[in-house]
Amino acid sequence: MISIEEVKHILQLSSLEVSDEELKKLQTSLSQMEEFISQIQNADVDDEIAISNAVSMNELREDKVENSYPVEEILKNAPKQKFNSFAVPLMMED
Amino acid sequence: MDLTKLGVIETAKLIREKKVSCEEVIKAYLKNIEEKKALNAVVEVFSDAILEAKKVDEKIKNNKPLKELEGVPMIIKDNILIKGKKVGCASKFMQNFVAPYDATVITKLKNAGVIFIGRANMDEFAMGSSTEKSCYGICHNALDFSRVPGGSSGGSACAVGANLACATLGSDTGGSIRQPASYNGVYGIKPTYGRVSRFGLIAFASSLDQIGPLTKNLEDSAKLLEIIAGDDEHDMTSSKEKVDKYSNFDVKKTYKFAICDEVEEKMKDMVTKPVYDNIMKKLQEKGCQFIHFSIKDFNLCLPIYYVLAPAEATSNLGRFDGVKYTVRSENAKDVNEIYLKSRSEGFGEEVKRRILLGSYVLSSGYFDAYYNKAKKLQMRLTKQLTDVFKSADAVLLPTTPNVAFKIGSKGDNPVDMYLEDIFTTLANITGVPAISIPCGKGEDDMPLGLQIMTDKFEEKKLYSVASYIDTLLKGENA
Repeated sequence: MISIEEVKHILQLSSLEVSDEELKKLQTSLSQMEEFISQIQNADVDDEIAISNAVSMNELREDKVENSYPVEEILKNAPKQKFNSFAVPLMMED
Repeated sequence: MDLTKLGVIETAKLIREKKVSCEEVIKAYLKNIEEKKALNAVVEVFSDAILEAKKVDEKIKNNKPLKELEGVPMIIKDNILIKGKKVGCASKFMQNFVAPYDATVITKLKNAGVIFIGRANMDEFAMGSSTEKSCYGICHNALDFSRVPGGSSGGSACAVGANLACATLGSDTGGSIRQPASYNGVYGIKPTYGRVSRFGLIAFASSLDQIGPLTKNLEDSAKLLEIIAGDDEHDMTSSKEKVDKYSNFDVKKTYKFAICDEVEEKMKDMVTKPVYDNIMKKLQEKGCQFIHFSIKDFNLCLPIYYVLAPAEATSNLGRFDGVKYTVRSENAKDVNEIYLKSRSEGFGEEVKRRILLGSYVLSSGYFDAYYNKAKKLQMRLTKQLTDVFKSADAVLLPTTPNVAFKIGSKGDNPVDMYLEDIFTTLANITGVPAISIPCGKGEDDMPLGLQIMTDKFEEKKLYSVASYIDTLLKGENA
């Protein structure tokens, strides 16, 4: 069972917040999920190494400067923009 | 002739031979989409579809050279980018997003002459097995309105099953193409990891995601994969491995199939078992050999998947923050609140649960016990499965335990839904290709799927074996 404190901690790690009522529900469902995945705990895998991909291939392309997407195009999807940039509220006072 | 019953290759041929105009084809599909609106498989019909069709007809009139699939209409899952079109991942968080570029698969299909007529419903951020968790509302099964179409590519599968397009694209992270394909009686393939570029696919779990076609027949599936597969400089995990002529089926007289003991054990409780037993019998009668093998960790596939996929999702979904794209919360007063409130208001319940599970398995104190352990098990599973292909052509197993379930029938425990993918996650975890082909009927005459797997990058063999079995089964039903 995942504790309420733990749920609060992973909510914080995930940049998410929920109401107190949802928190209880979440504790139940996350505990059910945790119980399910904990099946792997008993498997003995000490002689295995962890891999990044089942099919390993990590080829990097040549490091050369290429045209990127037009800034205006990319900014069109931003909820707020100003001075050709993403806009957020002031973070510091003068 | 009902044009909407035809597949990709047949339609291209009819248009090329001037037996039908492209506009007639597109109009027939748009009419079908309108009449079957209640299925909720298509979340947007593109307003320029007819215009595009007219351009094709103009080309034909002027005897201009035509591309291989000129004028063929397709519908695309709502998580693949088509430049200038909305892409929403079935999330209200993404409702205003317009794709600034084409996904590589879209570029390739455009170069082949395909016309995109709409986008398909799905589970939010591809997280689900029923397309009940979409901001556009529930999608229905093409063959039974009271049942789910499967998921997460439920809209894509339903659209093919209900003849709303010649074919569709979906994405498969743990079974999201194959399970809905099975539920709607269509063909769906998850290619080898790295076979198809993921550039322009909104990522769920990057090390498991693959794009694949859903089609009315096997030939179309092979043809479409042939077109969308290949190396891409925009996706460093795409493979340089040569793309074979998958559509030239190279069918042998007999094959050697492998059956997993642990799968057989699971099948003992399945009401659909006789359907699969019958297929094995038919194959044996044709002279095919069967070998048995054991994957001790088979029962851990789902738990492994539910460690790896949420872990990657947590990281991938971090960038949805109400700043760069996605809807910004109106209640946010400062930057931190923009992140916190936009994400909390934007993501749906199941997406939040998986982000949280991902954060949990990656958090300090649990990383080794979960993430690292799952990665090690992935290594062992991959070795065990690929070893089998040294002595057998293909592995056979069901796509799902049963036919499509009723809408709303899965309870409050999220794990009940996860069990849907019991036979499909193995291919994602190990990276091998797997196809689901219609193979018989279960309860209420609903379709069932047979899953075929071959070794990595053996899609050519996969299609040949699938053709062998498909022909055999069709002969039996004729």
